[in-house]
Amino acid sequence: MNTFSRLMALAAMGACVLAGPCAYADEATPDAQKILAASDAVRNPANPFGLSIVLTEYRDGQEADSNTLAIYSKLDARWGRYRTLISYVGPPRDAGKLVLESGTEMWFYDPSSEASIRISPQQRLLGQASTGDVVTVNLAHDYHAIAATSEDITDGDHTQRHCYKLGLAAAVPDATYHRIELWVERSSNRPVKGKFYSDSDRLLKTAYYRRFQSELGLERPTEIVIIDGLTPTWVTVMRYSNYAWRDVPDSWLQRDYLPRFRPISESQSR
Amino acid sequence: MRIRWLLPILAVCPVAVAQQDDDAAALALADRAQTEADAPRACVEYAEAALTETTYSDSAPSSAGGRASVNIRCDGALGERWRAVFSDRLDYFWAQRASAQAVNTLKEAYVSFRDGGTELFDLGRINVREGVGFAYNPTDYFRADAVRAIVSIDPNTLRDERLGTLVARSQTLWSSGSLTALYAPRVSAEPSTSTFSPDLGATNRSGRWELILSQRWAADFQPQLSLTGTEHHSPQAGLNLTYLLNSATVAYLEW
Repeated sequence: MNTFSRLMALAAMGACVLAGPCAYADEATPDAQKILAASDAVRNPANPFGLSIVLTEYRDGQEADSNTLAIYSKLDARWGRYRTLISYVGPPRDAGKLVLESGTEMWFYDPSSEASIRISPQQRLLGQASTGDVVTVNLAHDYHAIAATSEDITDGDHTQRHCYKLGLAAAVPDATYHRIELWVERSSNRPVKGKFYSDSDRLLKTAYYRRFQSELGLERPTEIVIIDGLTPTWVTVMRYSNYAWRDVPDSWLQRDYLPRFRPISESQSR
Repeated sequence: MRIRWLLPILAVCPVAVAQQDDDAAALALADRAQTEADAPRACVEYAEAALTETTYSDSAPSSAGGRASVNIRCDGALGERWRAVFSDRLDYFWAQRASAQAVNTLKEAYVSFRDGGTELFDLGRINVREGVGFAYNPTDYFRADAVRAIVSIDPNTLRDERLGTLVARSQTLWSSGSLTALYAPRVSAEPSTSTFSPDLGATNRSGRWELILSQRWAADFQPQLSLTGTEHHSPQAGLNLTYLLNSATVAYLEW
């Protein structure tokens, strides 16, 4: 190793120490798409399920807004994507409102007007959390994983994790993001961190997946912390609870059913 | 030359460190966050108050006035298969040199029965609202004479704050579509201005029926066809269609 190479290596090590995450050559070339699919399986149960999400938005450390949502989700085997029904439980001004995401269709229903309005995937739900973040998404369907390198990073629970860093490129026209950098823990395929970019390659948000608990047969994240790419003091915390298997008939996942929707009771659980 | 290589690396470090600090601060905030889920509720109510100033094109003096409104909507289960919906609005208007007026709008009051999840039946006053477009909806057949108290000229408000129609409605759902049939009987031909009148003469002045068919033909193609008939008039056909042009734009077609 000549003097220049040593100097470069030293500088790179210094950069790693200062910046924290440190990439290094991988022992074997992993299949990035398989890692991504395995990571999806950690986030998303394979059978129809329901859960509750509390989204709390903070601006400069102060709580600015909060929403409580009930989510019903089901994998559509034909398209390889999840179909999701989002029911607003709170605050009271929004109670009863619904969002249906089915393939490329996304509908918003307001009970006060009995109106169903088709919306685009980019229309936001709350703070930095777009509907694309709240609905169940199979990243392996919507994105091509084009690289997998190894990197150690600090996760959302302040623990060092040995990760694969995946580079994801949008594979379908309606993908929510242009590209994503996703860190997946090597030993468990848990998603650890994601950085999400716009068409102009601007960092839109950083997400940390944390507080893993046993839910529906697997250790799954029960909290996602979203940090705005431009204003880091704009933070949204998404807390997941009440995971349960729910029978969601296909006939309910269409616009014409929205005015008829009733929350699925325990007796309808599987 | 070697120094030039080093500069970009060293310049990146402060940015990376700053991002780490931002992330650490955000995660510390999330650590401290106390979140509490809202409990489901059957009723949502709200009140509005407005002050108005009316000016005239002629020499008449302007007049001040105001409005106070109370709105309530309840949607609750009556057992496993039954559901009841009630929605009402009371507006109180006053103005200088005019008598005050109260107007109650019974927007909805109906019961719904579900048979096995795919057969649904409704009976009562329902705000039957069709159409995917904004502002003006040619397929919104039940809008005529349904506004009792004009609180805003915003088209969406006019569609929201209106009387429902007394109807019997059934709907059959299947995995890729649905068929709805409804009938609104003739009840009275005389509208009422009485404060608490249900005003069925405004909404059920003649017998009407409607069939609505919705069928998914492709992943992103599910048109809605309607056929509506009124006593002594020929049936009218309607079409509602939407299409996602890109991730930020939706096109609407209503005929």
